[in-house]
Amino acid sequence: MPLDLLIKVIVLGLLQGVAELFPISSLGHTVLIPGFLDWGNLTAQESFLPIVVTLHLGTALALLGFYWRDWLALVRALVKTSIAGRLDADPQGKTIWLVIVGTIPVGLLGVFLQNPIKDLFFSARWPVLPAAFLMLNGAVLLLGERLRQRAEPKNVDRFKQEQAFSTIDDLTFVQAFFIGFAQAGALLPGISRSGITMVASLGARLRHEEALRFTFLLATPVILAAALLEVPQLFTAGTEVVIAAAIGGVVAAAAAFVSVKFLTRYFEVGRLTPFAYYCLGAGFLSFVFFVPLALGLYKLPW
Amino acid sequence: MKSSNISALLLIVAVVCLVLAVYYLIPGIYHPFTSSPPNESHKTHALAFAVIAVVAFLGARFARSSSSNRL
Repeated sequence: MPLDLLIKVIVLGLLQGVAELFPISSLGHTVLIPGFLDWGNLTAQESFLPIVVTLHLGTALALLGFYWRDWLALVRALVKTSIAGRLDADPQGKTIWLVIVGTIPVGLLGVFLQNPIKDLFFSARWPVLPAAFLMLNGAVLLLGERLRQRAEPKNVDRFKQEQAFSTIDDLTFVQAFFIGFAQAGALLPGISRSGITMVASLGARLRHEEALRFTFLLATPVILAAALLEVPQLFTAGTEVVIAAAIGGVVAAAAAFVSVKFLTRYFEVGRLTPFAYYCLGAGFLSFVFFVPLALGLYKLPW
Repeated sequence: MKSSNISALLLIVAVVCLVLAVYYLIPGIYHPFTSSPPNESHKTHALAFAVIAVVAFLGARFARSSSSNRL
């Protein structure tokens, strides 16, 4: 396998595994960083599609692996409640149906809008719009966190502040639907799936830790379904691409597992603010970098 | 909203989605909001509507059987 392809696959795997779960937009980063390196838009290239499939599969499997106990209980609850026709047939009955209701908007909008959005945003030579949306993502995270801080009890430690808010089971189905609807914002490159879903969950008065858990529970079926629908791409690819795709998938899975472990610990008392400032900064720098390139004012020296 | 009304609404959603699922499977007719040739059969769209139809049907059952669940 050419070293060039191996390096690209490892970089993309790391980017996907980390940026998909951190609230900083994986789609934005997998467009912006190859743009900086003048690799072009790798994720939109025909020859890279099988690799993109395994990157998403790796991320979804890492999420499933981390939350496997939750998913086992949720699947059991799905079966029990569906047979009984009652949500209270299982202690996790409401949670699984909140996840399902929250998944509907992004699933439907994804099916209808993914390709038109790809055509709209990925046809440009330089990723100016993803850079602008990354800034917007930062602004949304900052606004969400500021509004949350206003609602928090004052003069108590962070742990007690968090305890004043709710858990997933306190959500209503309407709230779950709108949180899922917010997740569809991630179809735009630069808007983070986990970021915008967390902000919507915080708006529904979930604790940060619970907002993160609900975000990942909502993200898992979406990422997994999107990847599985594209699996046939793997069967038509050559051996070299399949090996590269496998390496990328493993790297993405490892990066995603470490990321989810870090984030669950971080959001016990942590806030979205550092990620907001990162997105604002990275988005602004990318915008300033790519706009002159798009206007043809200078060329990359590499 | 009363549970019986929610149940009826969800049943209507289920039927409409089922019809749409079948509609997107039929080749030779125009399918809106599709990126590939609109006259072909679109299995992903059909699957999405079929899943929503099942969810809406189960939701209607929940709403009918339990008036205590907040929707």
